[in-house]
Amino acid sequence: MIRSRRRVGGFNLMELMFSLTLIAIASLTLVALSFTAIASREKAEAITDAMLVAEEQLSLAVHTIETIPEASHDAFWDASLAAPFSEGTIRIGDTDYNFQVLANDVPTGTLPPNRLRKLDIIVWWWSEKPGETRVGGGQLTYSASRLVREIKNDPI
Amino acid sequence: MGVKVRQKGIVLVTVLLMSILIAMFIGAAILIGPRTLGLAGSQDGALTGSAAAESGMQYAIMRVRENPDWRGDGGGLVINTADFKVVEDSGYVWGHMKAPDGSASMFRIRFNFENGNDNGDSLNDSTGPRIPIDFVSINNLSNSSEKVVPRASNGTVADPSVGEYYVPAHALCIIVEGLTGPGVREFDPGNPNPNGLTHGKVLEGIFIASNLDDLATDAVAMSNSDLVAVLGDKKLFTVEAKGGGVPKVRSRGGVKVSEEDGDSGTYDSKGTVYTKDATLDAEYDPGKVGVEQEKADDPFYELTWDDLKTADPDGNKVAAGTYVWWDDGTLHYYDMDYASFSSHIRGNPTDAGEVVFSGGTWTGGPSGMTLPPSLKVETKKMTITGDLYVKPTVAGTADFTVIPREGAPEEPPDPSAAQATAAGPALAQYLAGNPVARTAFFAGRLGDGSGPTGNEGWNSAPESGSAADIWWTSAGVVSFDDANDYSSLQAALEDAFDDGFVTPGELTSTAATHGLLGAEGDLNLGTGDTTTAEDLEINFEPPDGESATLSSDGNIRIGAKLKGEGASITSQGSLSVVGAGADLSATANAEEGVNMYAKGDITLSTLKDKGNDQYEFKDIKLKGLVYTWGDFDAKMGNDDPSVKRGKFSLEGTLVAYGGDPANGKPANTNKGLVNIDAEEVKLKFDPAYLLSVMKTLPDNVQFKRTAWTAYR
Repeated sequence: MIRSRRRVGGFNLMELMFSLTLIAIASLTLVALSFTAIASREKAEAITDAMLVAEEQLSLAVHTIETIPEASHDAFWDASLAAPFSEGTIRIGDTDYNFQVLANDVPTGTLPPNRLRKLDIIVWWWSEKPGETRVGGGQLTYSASRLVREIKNDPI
Repeated sequence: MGVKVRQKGIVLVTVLLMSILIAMFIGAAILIGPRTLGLAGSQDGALTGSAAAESGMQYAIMRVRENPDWRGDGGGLVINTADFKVVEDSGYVWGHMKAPDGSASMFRIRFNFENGNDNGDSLNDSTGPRIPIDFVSINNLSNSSEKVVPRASNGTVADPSVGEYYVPAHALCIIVEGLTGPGVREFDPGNPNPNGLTHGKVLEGIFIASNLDDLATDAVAMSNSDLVAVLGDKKLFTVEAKGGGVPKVRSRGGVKVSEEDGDSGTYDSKGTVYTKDATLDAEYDPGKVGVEQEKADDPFYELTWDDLKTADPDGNKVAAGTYVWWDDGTLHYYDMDYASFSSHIRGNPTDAGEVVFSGGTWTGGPSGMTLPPSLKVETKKMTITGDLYVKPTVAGTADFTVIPREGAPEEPPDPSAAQATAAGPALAQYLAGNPVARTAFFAGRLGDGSGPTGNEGWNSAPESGSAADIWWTSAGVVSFDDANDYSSLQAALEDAFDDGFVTPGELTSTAATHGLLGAEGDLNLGTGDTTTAEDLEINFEPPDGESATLSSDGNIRIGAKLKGEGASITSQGSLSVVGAGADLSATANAEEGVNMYAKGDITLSTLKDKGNDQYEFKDIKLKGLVYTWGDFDAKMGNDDPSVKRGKFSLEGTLVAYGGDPANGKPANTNKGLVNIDAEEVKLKFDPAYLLSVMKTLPDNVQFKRTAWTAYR
């Protein structure tokens, strides 16, 4: 009986140790994956928010340029293209999204008031300047482009 | 024992269960992470694709404003920058944009139906890359009727007349596909379609051109000088506006409607007539017709030569000169302007010139003249299928003339007995418009002494009835009440001639000296040829929806039946068309879609030589823009009641600007006369025809978006 009990107890200890090891490895893997999943979700949310910022700012820029007021329209088409058309920071949740809208002439060969410009927007977050990366987070920049036409009060 | 053994296994089972559970957690985490990012990517596709499609829309409208006929046929890589490239080829457009982070998007537009050449799309089938989408865009800007928007199936639009909906007249239907994804990362202009996975959006916008009425200042006829119409007995001068607007006629001189017997004619339309003194010299119902004063500062429609769409001098060309059809079906070329030719041929009536067409074939003559692709010549018929520039010759010839051998008279010949009678009005008209000749003519002549002492005034006052319009203060010094009042001056001169200011013989010889006697265009060589303008044809047959423009640096004189749709004739000199029109009672739908623009006068005659000295004027139904810097003269009737008069109908706009529109309002009313001699006159305002002659769309024409659809 005693021998028999010992055999059973030793087996249980080995079994327990094996089980604990397995659980530990699995738990650590789970925790690691959880962090990855959380990071991915955060990045996805950040990209989505950045897209919304980009879309909003591009739409605002196009509306301002194409329609009203006239002074805004004229200012855009008379302005030097060296400076950004607009820039700023928008906070969504705990994240600051910095953006910059730049304009470039498109060489269409057309004359005023039928010129075309390309608007580029860059949105960046969790970094000081666009183009920076973050370990585990990758690129922290989103950008998009849109064309805008010169003629006034003729929006699409 | 047995129970204890069972208890030992429960730990293993529990561990395995927990392991499975943990594995499921791990699996879920692995699955969810990328999918969350994928969702963000999908949203990016929708947003970027939409932005690309809207960019394509902007691009298309910019191109249409630049060229109202644009259909994506720019001919290759039209924009090539580091971050934006556009390829236009045979009715397809690919635009590729790169954002600052290197991500790419693309827009694509398809106009080509790929159903054979010029079958509803004004395009030939493409031999290059195509866009495999069913959505086709329609440029209906220059068209005055709605058009079906079809869909392609298996790459082709089998029947362009079948579709679910229409694009209105003078509107655009632009459908743009915006794409993003790995397939558009790189762009090869030679093979511009995506290569790999893409996602995106298709947007459709229908845009109607607005403010067209402002474009033409809302008047069917504008004359810087008088507008005079002579009608058949009891016939009407009617004016309407397309779409039911208020039709307007504007003149900086007077507007006079009379009948051929001299009675007052009837202006029978609702609307407003503007004249310099707010009077309308016609029978009219004041309840229907408003008569107001033309304001001095109100501009006419100003279409400058630079704004005009003309044939490219580097494109298809034909040599300037006089082309003469003989009875035997041969075409003879003379390197001469018409004035030189008429003088030369009268002295050398048998001169055959250079035979460039004979036996039904273009020979090119000794000099080897070649035919451009846009000009086809058959016996007594020329067909213009595209733009054609009249190239001045080394000899300095700039005119373009096509006539029968005996000429193309604009009016029936005057019997010799009536020449003296005809000389008065002809000379009066000539002198009124030519101050230098007028001064020379009056030099040394005396008035009749009927005026007050010291003022040998000729009591010639047909306009005011009180003050003399012409008087002589001393021998050879003649004064005019208003030397710039063209019509008043002409009437006063006629009055003076009628009163015997000069003898009939002197009147006739003076008129003859200035080439004013005999019908303009009548060569009367006596060769025995019987070919008339009625036997010759000049057809404009551009591809459907496109236009064909004949442009000359000199005068254009066409003595042939002029037919066509989408045709434009632009002349830096005068423009005369003899032989246009048809008998509308026999062919009610005969219409000539011809725009005419001339820096000089425009003369239109529908005279038909019936043989045996019998003549009649045909009817004409013009659809288009008629714009002259000088006078417009429609000769569709004359003083001879035995000659049948023709009906004049114009749907479009008629402008006799009276000067160079680039210089603004002319300083005086010497030029800009509109004279229509016809059985009846119908004018219908439709400014849309202006679009077909404009090089670019005017700034004040705007596009109103009437439909906006997202397909995916």
